[in-house]
Amino acid sequence: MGDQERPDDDLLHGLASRDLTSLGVLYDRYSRPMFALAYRILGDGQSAEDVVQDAFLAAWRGVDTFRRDRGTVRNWLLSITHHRAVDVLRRRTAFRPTTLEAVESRASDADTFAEADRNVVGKAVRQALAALPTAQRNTIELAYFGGYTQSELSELLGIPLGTVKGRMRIGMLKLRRALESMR
Amino acid sequence: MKLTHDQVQDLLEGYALWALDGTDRSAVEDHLAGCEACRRTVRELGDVVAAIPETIVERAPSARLRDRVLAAARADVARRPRPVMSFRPAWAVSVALFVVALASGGLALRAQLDLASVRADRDAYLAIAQKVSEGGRWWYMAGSGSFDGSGGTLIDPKKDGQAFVLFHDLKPIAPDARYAVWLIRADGGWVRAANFWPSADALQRVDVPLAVGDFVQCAVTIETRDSGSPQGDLAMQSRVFGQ
Repeated sequence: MGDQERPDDDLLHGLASRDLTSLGVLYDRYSRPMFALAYRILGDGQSAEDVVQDAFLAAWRGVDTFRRDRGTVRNWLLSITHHRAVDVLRRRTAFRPTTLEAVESRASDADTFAEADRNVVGKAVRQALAALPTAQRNTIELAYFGGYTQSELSELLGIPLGTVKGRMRIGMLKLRRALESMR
Repeated sequence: MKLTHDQVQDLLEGYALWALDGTDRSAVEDHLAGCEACRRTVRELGDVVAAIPETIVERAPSARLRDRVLAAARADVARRPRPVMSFRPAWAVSVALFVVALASGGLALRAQLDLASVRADRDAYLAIAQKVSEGGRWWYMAGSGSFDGSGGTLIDPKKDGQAFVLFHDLKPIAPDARYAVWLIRADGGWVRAANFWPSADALQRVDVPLAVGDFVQCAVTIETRDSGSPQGDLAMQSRVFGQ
């Protein structure tokens, strides 16, 4: 079995023993979705690459924080990428859209909401998101991709904090049911 | 800030989406440490959140990024070699005192007798931790920087006992400072488990009044406040994990 076919768990063991080849294989396997996510959140390639590098280094140093019972290696790496990209975004307060119009304009740019038909899961999740009422979908997307906290969303959208929480709760519940029905 | 169970439930979607401010996030993590129902909800919400990036079309970073990542990792190896625990004479005393610490933990007499007969070298210390945990888990935290030489083992017994940390060779700290023990979640969130001040003893036991089950690492920092997120210097962090 070549390095590229090694299972994720084996690669994590490699990371734990400071094996750069294992890190390289993980990079080849997951850098594209990680970069796409960071790029979607940050909107520029250089910052997105910095985040991906930071995320891989975090995985390299903290491989023992991975828990198999919490999900896949892919999801773990994407979670690290998401958190770090959002943290970077939040430090750029001066550049964040402060009106809903600006956010909506930014969100419709480029390929960020383009087709994700490369796999069944992507297509199904996109359909599940699209099926949500606009208000619920916007709240979830603005939080996840826009890095807005619930309090910021309340201010941005001009609605009570409780409404933001309610939209998130119902939207996430519907998404969960939709995903469960796929399995 | 301490939140009620209902208040925390109101925040779990925002927590899963990384959409809480720092204060709320810390409060939720404090609650999660002791609430299995909320942890289960967070896990379920996490599955939903994990699906969201699947909606994005993958795209390739520049070709040079791969080299940058590997170079950074290579440099990290040179800068942060894997810690190797070395035998230290103080541990000979520590092992004997280990028995004392265990006695207050309600653990099995058999384990205590085992401990009393074991010599304090590195492997024996690790073997002790395994025995004491009685099928549970343990983490060894090695001191770094000015705390080099200090260390502690967080032990999470599988049954009949509260988790605790057994520290050795703690350094004195400023009068207005305290040691803070942190439990670290898989997503990188830190939850303060205990504050304490060093005694003059070679060995010191600190109880951890939280359910350790969902945490994956631990650390100790020097803090000037009893609550809040970690702000102070890192004194030690877990590197060795046993199960």
